[in-house]
Amino acid sequence: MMNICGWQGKSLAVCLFVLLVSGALILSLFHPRTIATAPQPPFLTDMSGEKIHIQAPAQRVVIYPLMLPAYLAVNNGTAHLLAASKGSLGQMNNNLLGTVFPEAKNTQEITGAYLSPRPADLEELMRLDPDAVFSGWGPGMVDPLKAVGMPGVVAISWGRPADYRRDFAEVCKLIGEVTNRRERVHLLISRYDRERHQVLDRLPANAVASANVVVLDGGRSYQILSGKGFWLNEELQALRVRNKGQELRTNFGGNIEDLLRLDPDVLLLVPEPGEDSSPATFMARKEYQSLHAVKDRRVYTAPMFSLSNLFLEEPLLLDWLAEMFYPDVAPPRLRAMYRQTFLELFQFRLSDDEIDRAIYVRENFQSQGYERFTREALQTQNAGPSKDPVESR
Amino acid sequence: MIIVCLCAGLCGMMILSLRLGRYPVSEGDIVRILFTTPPLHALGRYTNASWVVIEIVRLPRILMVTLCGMGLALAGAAMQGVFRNPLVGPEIAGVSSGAACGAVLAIMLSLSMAWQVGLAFGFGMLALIIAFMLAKLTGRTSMLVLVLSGVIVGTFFGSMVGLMEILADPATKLPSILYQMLGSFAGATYEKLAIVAGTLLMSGTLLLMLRWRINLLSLGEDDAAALGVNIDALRWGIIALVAMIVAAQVSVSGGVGWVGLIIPHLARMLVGPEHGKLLPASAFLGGIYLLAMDDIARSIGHMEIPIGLLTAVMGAPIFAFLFWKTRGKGWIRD
Repeated sequence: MMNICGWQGKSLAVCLFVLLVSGALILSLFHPRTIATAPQPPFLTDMSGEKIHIQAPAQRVVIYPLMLPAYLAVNNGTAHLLAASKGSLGQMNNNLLGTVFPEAKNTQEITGAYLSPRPADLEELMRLDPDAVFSGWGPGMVDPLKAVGMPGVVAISWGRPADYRRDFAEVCKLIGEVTNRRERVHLLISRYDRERHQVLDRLPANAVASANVVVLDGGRSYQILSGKGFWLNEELQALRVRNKGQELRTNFGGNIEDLLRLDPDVLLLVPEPGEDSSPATFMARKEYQSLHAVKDRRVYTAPMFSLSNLFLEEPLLLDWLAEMFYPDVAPPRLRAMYRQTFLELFQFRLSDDEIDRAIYVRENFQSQGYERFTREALQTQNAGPSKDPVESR
Repeated sequence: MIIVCLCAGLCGMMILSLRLGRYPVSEGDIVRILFTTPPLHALGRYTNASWVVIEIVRLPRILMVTLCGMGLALAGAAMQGVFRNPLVGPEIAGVSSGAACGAVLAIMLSLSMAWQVGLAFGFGMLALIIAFMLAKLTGRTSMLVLVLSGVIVGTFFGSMVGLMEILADPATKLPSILYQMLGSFAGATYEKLAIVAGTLLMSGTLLLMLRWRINLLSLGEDDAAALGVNIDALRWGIIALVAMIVAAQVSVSGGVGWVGLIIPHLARMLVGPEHGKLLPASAFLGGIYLLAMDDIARSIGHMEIPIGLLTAVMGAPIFAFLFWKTRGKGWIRD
């Protein structure tokens, strides 16, 4: 055929090209985009406003967003959890819930990059055949799942840091709807409110913290996190602790000169998994020697975990902050509060070592005043005439 | 004959690619799914999920990868002919960077996927227009001026992307931006396929029809002008067609490099430098290559590898091999 005529033979290549591309174009224009499914009554509304049908309780749940600790807390275990993303599973590494539910670390990992903007492999997801999928929300996240007819796709959307508590409550409610654990969600939320108020009510009404604070990323960059939109600003305000990081013009960032300019009394380091977030390392750096917080050894690694278990962890963090900034008026009850929380919610008795790890006793041992959180201090206190009001409850 | 074999090889590769994937679908089911049209809710002799996997997940992706590979290789061969330079790729006009900037801007503004594709395409064409105007400003139209204006435009849009990466929220936007820059066909849909197919049908066909004139350009400016070729118009026309192909590709899949650079060299080793055969051979070979890369990317590991990364990792040693293979011979066969 190539020898029929020189130019005709060479036009064959063009014809083949046009044929192939035209075929693809025609197929793309006329092919059905999605499969037809029978309409079903809506069951719940997800965070994108979509009405979703799920046969609750879901029996095979897949989780993509960073919310595995929240799921474990609401579900009180790993029941019906089929798979989770790598990022979600990674949250169990530095989380007490990983101790309570060690089987969570063996959950099957669903393939996808850590914070991939879309599920990496739809076929693998289809092979798992889940009946509920918690997905991130945004272009390219939910649409591919719906295009393949994936049932029960619940979109999760995190808004501004200032809206974190509202969004987290919504996430917990959705988990409760999917797993038929509405009462437990109500328990978690009401307990959170109660514990939070207890911490705040124990402080004298006119108490104002004498020290101000800046919160830093405890990784290599030591970026200022506690800017204007910092998620903890509301609680710091409730504790009447002045956050100097809000003087930054941005939500986070700043450089070393900003930190030297702010020069807070107290520095809190948010622990970064895999990084050395200890105050000793920070205080050893020459460029930070002039800071008041370093001179007074008031640099601490804060017990801030994944933030995806807010209702469990925030009252504990709040009490920690209250005891840090009001050591003379706030009663020492943190260790007891940890024990009581996990006993009440998960029927799990935390050991002294586990609490030590959770509140970074070893990392903070060089920092001023941290001995009050050690088990020895608690033993000394309990040996006295009055017992801790929490444990005597 | 070689070109027909390449076309047949491409079709075979496409059929083979349909078989690959994590969801098990038998060959018999694939044939039945492709060549029958059962009611969508019917189970038939294959499960509904099998139909979805083949028709909704794999088929649009395989077709899109094929067309993008064909387009990039075709564009690369055309550009190497126009510039008479073996180191030129379709990205030389700065269109890739422009398209990437448009896509990243859409991510920053939290726009829908349709807007992302549209902005990527628009910014790609904008990059070309700016490069054209820069070249016009100098009053000269030599190849060096064209290359320099493309470099300027590409650098500018590249720096804009870098700026947006710095400003992006590291928790929500930055991963999407990085994913876009690495390139992936995981989000293939029939809508995106239509964009690529429509653009390639128009631009690719025109490029193939102009392949004889590219032969004349490769003789040198003086000889081509003497033979009646309007060099400036032809050059800019080809660059515009290439830009459309590249913009469409980047808009649907992000940055995928090295294809347009190395495939023309491989094709030249097979069919020679004459553009009448080189362009179609490059197109089919580019489809085969990118399809193979995508099959590896989605099959080789636990996690899908971004294809832009894979083509770069594979492309550099292949280019080094070609460099060694053609040592002392020049890149145009006598």
